[in-house]
Amino acid sequence: MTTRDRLTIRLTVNGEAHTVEISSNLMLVDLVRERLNLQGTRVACDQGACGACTVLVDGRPITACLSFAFTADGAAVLTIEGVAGSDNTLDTVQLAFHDSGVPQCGFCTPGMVLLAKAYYMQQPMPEGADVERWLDANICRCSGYQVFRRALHSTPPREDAP
Amino acid sequence: MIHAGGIDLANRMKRGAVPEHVVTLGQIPDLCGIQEIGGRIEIGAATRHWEIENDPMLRCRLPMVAGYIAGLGNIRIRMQGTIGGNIMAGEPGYEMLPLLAVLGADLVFADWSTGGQEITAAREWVLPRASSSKTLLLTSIRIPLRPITVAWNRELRPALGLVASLEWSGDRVLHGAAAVIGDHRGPMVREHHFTEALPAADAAPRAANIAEVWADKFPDIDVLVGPDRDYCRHVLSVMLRRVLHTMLKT
Ligand SMILES: Cc1cc2nc3c(=O)[nH]c(=O)nc-3n(C[C@H](O)[C@H](O)[C@H](O)COP(=O)(O)OP(=O)(O)OC[C@H]3O[C@@H](n4cnc5c(N)ncnc54)[C@H](O)[C@@H]3O)c2cc1C
Ligand code: FES
Ligand code: FES
Repeated sequence: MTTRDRLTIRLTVNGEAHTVEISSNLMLVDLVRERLNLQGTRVACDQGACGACTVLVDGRPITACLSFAFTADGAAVLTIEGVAGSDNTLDTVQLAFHDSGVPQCGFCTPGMVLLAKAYYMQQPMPEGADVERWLDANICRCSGYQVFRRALHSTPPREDAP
Repeated sequence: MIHAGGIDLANRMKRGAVPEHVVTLGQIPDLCGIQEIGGRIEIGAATRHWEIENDPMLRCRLPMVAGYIAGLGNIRIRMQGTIGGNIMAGEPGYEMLPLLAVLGADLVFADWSTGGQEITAAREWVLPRASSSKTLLLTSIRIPLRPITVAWNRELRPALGLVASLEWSGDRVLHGAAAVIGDHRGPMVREHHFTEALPAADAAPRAANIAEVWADKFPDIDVLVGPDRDYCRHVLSVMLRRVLHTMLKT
C-alpha cells in the first residue's frame, strides 16, 4: 500500500463491531480517541516509552501511539472504557486498584489498569517479581508505583487458577 | 518500506519520513516461528520478541537468549516488536545484533532485486547497510547450537553495553567473543583466544587480567560515554570483567 491509501478495516472495540475508513498512516491511538471518541486512552510521550496509550489488542498490551490502525483489522480492541461490565460493575483488577487507593493525578491509570489486566489474563495467579517486571513497562509521573504493585499483588487469583 | 511490528517505522514517520510504499509482513507464517533444524535454531525474522522469550524449545536449548530478550525494552515493546525489525532498524543501541554476533549466528536475506538468497554472518552486518538496504528482506536468523555461555552488561544502556560469550570444551574455556552495544558502525566483535585452556576454577580470579587484555582489542570504539577514549576503554574493561566473572562462575 502507499501511505496515501485509504483502507476499510473492521474491528471490535469494547465488544462493539465497527467498520471504519482510515488513512494507512493513522495511528491506533488516534482511531480510538478521535474517531471513536474514547478519550480514556491517553497520549504523553508519543514514542512508546510511557505506556499512557496502552490498549489491549486481542489481549496483548499494545502501545497505541506506535501501532498503525490498520494492524487492528479483524482484532478485538479493549480500551479503559470497556473494562467495567456493561452495568458499570468494576472488573476484578479495577476493584483491586480502587481498594489499594487511587494514586495522585490518575493520568497513567487507564494504561496501568490495562497493563495489569493483560497480566491477569495471562497469569491466573499474580506472582512476586513477575508483577514488578510487567508493571515496569509503564511510567507514572506521580510515582504511584507502590500503589499499582499493591493492587496487582492483592488481585485475587483467577477462578481457573491451579 | 517494510512494516513488521511497526515501532520504528511509526516513530520515523512521526519525525517526517514519508515512505512511498509500505509492505506489511503481518504474520506471514514463513517468516514467523522458531525451529530446531540440524545443529541450529532458526528464528523467522517476523517473530516477536515475546514469542521468542517464551518459546519452550528455545528456553530449553538457548535459555540465555530467552533471558537476554526478557530484559529488552518493556513488555509492550516485546509484544509488538520483531527480531527482524530490531536488527534492520540499524540503531546502534539496539541489542539483538550484538547478541547474535557473539553467538556466531547468520542472517538470511531474500534479495528482491535478484530473487536470490544472501547469508551474512551477524558479526559482519554493519548498521549503515541495515538502515539503507531497500532490496533485502531479512527472512530468518540461524543460531548454531554450541557449548556456549553468554552474559551481558546493560547498565549504561543505550549509550554503551556489552554482551560476551565463552565457548567451552568440557570444563575448559576455549574461546571468547565480546560485542559492544552502542557503536554507530555495528556490534564490533572482538575475540579472545585462551592460549592455555583454563579450568574454570582458576579462571575466575583472573577475570580482571583477561578483561584488561581483551579491552585493548577495542581501540576505536565509537560510543557516547565519558569525556574521552581512555574513559570508554576503562568502562569497557569493567564491563568485560563483570561479564567474565558471571560466565566463569556458572
Ligand atoms: C520505548 C522503547 C524501548 C526500547 N527498548 C529497547 C531495548 O532495551 N533494547 C533493544 O534492543 N531495543 C529496544 N527498543 C527497540 C525495539 O526492540 C525495536 O523498536 C523493535 O524491535 C523494532 O521491531 P519492529 O518489528 O517494530 O520494527 P519495524 O518498525 O517494523 O521495522 C524497523 C525497520 O526495519 C525494517 N524491517 C523490519 N523487518 C524487516 C525485515 N524482515 N527485512 C528487512 N527490513 C525489515 C523496516 O523497514 C524498518 O526500517 C525499544 C523501543 C522502544 C520504542
Ligand atoms: S504515549 Fe504511547 S507510550 Fe507514551
Ligand atoms: S498518578 Fe499521576 S501519572 Fe500516575
